Amino acid sequence: MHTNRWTRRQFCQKMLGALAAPAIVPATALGMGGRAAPSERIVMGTIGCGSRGMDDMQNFLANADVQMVAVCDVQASKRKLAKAAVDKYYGNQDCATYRDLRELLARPDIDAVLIATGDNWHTMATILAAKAGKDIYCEKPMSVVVAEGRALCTAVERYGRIFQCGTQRRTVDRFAWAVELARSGKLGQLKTLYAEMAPAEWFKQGHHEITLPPEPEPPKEVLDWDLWLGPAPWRPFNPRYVQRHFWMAHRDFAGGMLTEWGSHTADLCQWANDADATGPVEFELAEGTVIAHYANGVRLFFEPGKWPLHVRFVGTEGEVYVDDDGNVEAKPQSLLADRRFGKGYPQANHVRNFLDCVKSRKQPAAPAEGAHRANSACQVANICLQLGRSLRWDPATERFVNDPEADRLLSRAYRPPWSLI
Amino acid sequence: MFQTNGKKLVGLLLAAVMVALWGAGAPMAGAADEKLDKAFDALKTYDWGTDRSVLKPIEEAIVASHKDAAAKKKLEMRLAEALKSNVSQAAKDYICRQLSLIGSADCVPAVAELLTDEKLSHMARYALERIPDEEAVAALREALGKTSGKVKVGVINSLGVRRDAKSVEALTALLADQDGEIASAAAASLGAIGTVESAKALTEFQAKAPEKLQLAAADACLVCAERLAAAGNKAEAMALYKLLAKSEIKHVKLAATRGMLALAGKKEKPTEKQ
Repeated sequence: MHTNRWTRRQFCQKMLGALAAPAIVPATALGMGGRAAPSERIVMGTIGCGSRGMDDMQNFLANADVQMVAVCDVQASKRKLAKAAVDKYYGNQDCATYRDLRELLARPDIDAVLIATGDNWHTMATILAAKAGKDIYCEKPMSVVVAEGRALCTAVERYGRIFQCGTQRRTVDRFAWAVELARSGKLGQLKTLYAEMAPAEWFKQGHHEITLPPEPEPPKEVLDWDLWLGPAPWRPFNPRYVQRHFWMAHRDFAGGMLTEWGSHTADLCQWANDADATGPVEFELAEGTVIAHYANGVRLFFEPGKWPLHVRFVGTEGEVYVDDDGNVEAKPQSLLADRRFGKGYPQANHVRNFLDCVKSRKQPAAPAEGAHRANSACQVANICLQLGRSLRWDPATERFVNDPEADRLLSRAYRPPWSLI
Repeated sequence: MFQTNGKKLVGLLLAAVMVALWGAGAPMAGAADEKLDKAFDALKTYDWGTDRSVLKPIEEAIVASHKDAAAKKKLEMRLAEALKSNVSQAAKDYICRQLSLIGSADCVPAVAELLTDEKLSHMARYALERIPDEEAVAALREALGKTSGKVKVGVINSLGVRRDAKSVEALTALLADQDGEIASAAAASLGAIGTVESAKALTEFQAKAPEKLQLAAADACLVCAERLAAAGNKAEAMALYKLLAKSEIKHVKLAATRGMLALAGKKEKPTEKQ
């Protein structure tokens, strides 16, 4: 493991000093041609290069002060595509590729990483990155079980890293505006929040632990099955595991429909309820879904999902509805005035916010604690459904109230060598 | 007379109602038992890729046993028996998952048997880490001397998760292991245990750790300092932070400084200048 005796900027400064008269210096290296000067660039690596990772990475590449130097994926085909995209963008062949994230994280020249692996890897990859002194943009949901999210928050705090969760609706204007309506009291006293789960048709088999028949394991260079599994229990290879719609419904790899969208929608609800550093105190099982109760009397309904993703906040004097298609409704309508909002849920603002915070060292829009609290509310709701009963929750200790049986589901043993400690 | 007859009548009615309820309930309970028996039978041939729904009655019985200690114990012992039988790895994986939910000291001997099995050690830990009884930790401690390589790393990790102070001596010895993953895991677990004794071991390790283990040693010291501080051992925590504040690794130095300030009750913590 390398040690960071020199920062990249110190390295750049020393190297520039040593190179008194370079024969040819590309304009981009001097900060011309729309690129930031090397000393102002944030050197990055991407870990996890599936469709989401590629989309995120393009958003990072679009920023002139980003220099993407490496990509990592356990699948060769994805590594190849990601490298091609980076090399095409810069017009060179310089992007390094890695199968094992530990090798990428050992590079002292990398300041920050984009983590867009499967959910099962989000926590471990973030903790390893924090230990290596990197800042982190990590896709949602940031963990599979509650203890993972807490461990992630602790590691990020311990090392003073900048962490942005990929809950980009926090920086989409209409969602942020709706939250502000709730927080500023313009809806009166907040009463009810509606957080949508992902559509049930994506999760026809529920949140499951299905195993699949063994198939021949590909060579490590093609797909490193052991690394793909990471901390999760071992099983023989079957290509279906690697398909997103299979793993995201599997308990070993993801939180199912609750965390898939809940990490966005419950996040916005918690933010609206000024609950970024806490959570509900009771989870009531109600006809296949869950109603979470906060200490301030506000109720959060986890609603069965249907496109487009939306949230609704209801207060004593008004309510607001916002969705991904750009629909915004408010009662009274005067709350809307003549505001106009865009459509979609772009992450460009979210990425820019992260990069700015890497430079300023200020907290970004979706820091670890808030993202964890929202995701853990979804995870506790999942435990309710698994145990088939309502549960009382202590957000201070992050344990159930007098329920050691339910407490068991807050953590899981990691497969070696991976560990949360 | 009428009163007596009335009481008899009420009694007869109650008896009739109870008989009716029993009559209706018994087949239901019988059907549930039958389904459960079938599920346990299915475990004998269960393998990767087998339709998981055949085992669902076991999961349903576990959920239903929430407030029925006797039923829970019966299920636990049945699962432990099945675990000892000649079933597939997939079936043992499944059983360990269920025992992680309801297991107690009583099933620990059956689970602990798997700790030294390269293919099943992780699932044994999956159950044992969640079983709150001391016997589960004792089984992990005992497995420390019987395992090697990655299996040993897993056992070390679990001892750290359970914060087993009785393992400090054994873990301290493992800091000198030639296998870097074992030494690194031992350091992490000592940090998580976070006692004054583990701090002492980590202080010595930090000073002499080979370069490839320097970050692991530093991280373990930082975790240990946090655990010491939380337990009120502020002087020992500060000593660890002071040690790390001399580190040449920039982000470790920063973490140590942040720790020292937190210990001193300062809310503002330094951040790294990019």
